[in-house]
Amino acid sequence: MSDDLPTVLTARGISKEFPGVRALDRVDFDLNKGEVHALVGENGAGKSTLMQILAGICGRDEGRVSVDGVECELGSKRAAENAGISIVFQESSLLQNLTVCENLFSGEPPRGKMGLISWKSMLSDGTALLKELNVDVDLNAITGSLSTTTQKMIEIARALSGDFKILILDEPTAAITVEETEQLFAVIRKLKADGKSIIYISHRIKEIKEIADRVTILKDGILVDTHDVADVTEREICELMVGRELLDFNYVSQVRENIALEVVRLSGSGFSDISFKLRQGEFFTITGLAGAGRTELALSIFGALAIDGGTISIDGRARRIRSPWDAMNAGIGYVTEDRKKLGLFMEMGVAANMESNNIDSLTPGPFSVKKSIEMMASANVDDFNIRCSGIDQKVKTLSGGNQQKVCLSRWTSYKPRILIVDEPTLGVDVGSKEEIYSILNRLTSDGISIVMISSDMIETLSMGDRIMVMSAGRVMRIMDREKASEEDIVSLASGLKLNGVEA
Amino acid sequence: MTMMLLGATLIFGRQFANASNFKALLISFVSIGFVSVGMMSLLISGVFDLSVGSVFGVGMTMVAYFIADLHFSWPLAAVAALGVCALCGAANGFLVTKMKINPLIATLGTMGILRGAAIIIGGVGKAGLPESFTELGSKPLLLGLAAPVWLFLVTACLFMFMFRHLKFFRKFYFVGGNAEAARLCGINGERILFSGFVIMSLLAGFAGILYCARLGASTGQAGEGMELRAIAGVVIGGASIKGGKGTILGGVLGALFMALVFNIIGMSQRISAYWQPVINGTILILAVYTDVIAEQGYFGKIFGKNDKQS
Repeated sequence: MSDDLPTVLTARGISKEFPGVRALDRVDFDLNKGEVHALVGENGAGKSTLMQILAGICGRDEGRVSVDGVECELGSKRAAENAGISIVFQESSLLQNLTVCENLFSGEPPRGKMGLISWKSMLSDGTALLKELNVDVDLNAITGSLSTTTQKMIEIARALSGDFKILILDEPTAAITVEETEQLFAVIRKLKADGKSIIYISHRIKEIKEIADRVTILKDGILVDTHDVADVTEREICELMVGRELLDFNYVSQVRENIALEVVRLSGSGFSDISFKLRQGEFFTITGLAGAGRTELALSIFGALAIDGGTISIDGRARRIRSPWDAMNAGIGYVTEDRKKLGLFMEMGVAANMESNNIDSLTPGPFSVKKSIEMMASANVDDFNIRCSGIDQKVKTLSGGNQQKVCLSRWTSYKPRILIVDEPTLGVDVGSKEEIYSILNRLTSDGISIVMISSDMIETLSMGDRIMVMSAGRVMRIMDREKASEEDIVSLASGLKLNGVEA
Repeated sequence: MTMMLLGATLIFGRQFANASNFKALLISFVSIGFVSVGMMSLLISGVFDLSVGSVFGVGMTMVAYFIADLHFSWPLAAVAALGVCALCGAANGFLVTKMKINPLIATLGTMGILRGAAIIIGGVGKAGLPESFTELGSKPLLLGLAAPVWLFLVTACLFMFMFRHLKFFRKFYFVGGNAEAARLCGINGERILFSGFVIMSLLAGFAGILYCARLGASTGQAGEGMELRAIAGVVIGGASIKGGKGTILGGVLGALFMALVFNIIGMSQRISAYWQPVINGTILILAVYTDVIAEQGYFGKIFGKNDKQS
């Protein structure tokens, strides 16, 4: 079906390297006129990088791109727009303090007499645009006051307001409802009929079957294959995305009998109806796609976000946790995924950072004992093999792996009963990764229960006792790690039930 | 600072370097010294207070009002005035931590409110306070220096000790360094900031009471422009507008530097007193700018070396 249509975009041999990772390795990509071409792959497969290159936001190291047979440099977003490529980002790029209408026409506001901005035509054009998408919203509303789903629709409407040949939608449905998805699909079909081409990125394989003509699968920056959607099943697409060597790490299970943490029907912003039990010394991994509500769940258990309902029990006793200090008193520790913004005190030294969460617990009484802090810091530096010039070196001058070890070690010094680690190896070099894995395993042998949030498929499958897969704020399944397969996790995380739509 | 002392001695000779001038310098330094200790505490936790001058005025006016109009004994009046100042600080703390109003705006507002309220309640000025009270402010106690100087030295030493050794005050650094990270470390930042504002107002009010005792009277305008001098002084003394940095000793030395500058200006007959705020403002901007470029690494190589050793 796609062979007889003319090609509108050709990308050949696209490579891009970031420090330490080859994000794209000689990837080829074609797009036909009037086609919806889906791009799939796991987190870190290189989809977003490829799209950013096509949209002129990020430069390429190698490769050529041509649009309608004309080679393009795509050096800036403007250049890409001039070539007819428009993009809707995964994350909101709307200006939160402006009105809907101002956002819709932030690129090229309609002009009236004397070249002044015509508010009248802006309002009428805006109404027409939103009507097409069936979005019911006041054009004069402040964007920041609207829900994320409405904002997403406004963003899509904004892209439609411009003149384009190629529209890139980067996970447009991640934050919108089923009804809105239908609405969006109707618009996509209309655009297609008008001869526009669409690149559609999504983790939801089901949608791809519904809307796309062809699908291209990326894995670890390498092109796996391109297929006509009609020729492959959802299951086959999942299988093409996965398939990797596991870590050479020998995880030793240390699970004890007693229940350390029990979460019953917990609901909050971004997740609902979550229940699970965690045994002492158990290593429990929570996986899922970005936006599945994993970090929100962790922050709620840690008291940093409010919960709407449900209970948290520790060692069989229900606890009211309303703040991080409540959680810490109950024996919970939390290592954040965003260590630069939410974890470390970048301008302070290693020892001070280790003091931060241990101020009250390290020594009794109102006095801070410098010697105890120094002893703890030195012990941690040795134990965790933190490479620093001394315990007063500012943490902002440490490498990512060493910063992460500072974060981890200060929480092990707190001696929690339950330690939640959120993406513990994000932005960490390979050597430090393995050290972090063995540290986490060692903690379980001390009887500490670990909850690890991870998007990294390899570590999810190599470490721990059980895996909980979340999708769109809900638990899809809790399974033993030994019995879990990559395909299962990918399908569950994408919102497909196993043995569900595709047998 | 040493160079300034030397320079001033060379230029003004005996006029600068004599015991009575140093005594005068110290006495005039007491008020701003108290305020700078408080301002440093706040800047360490990442906020500042523009209402200090007004609270200083509140302390002064209220103690005079309690003594002269309500006939309180002076110790009771002092405690009552301190209580009022603590309430002012609590109001600032409430506005910032509970109502989430930007500290700049919140304290700019209370700066106006408190200045007016103090005059409405206590009048534009009161004289004729009892000798038992004014003696406190002016009678030499030890080494020819009156009680306010000694009280200040004790307070400054106490705060230096507290910020080094008390858990509660160590937390100020973490809240100022990264408020969100501090929360995730189990540090209740709101409680820290609230206490900071109360401490600030207590110190400013106490300074106002002592100033009232020294003057033997109260004036409605006392303490105007103090916030500018205090913030400039503590930033020179090593505080960062972004928080998490600085020591109490640094704040005191910074304030002393400012006091010296004005002492020298006062000595030179040719510079009008109206130049004071001009110089004040200039120093503040220069001090903050130095902090900014040190952060950006423009002077990073020079300052960076010092950092590693500290």
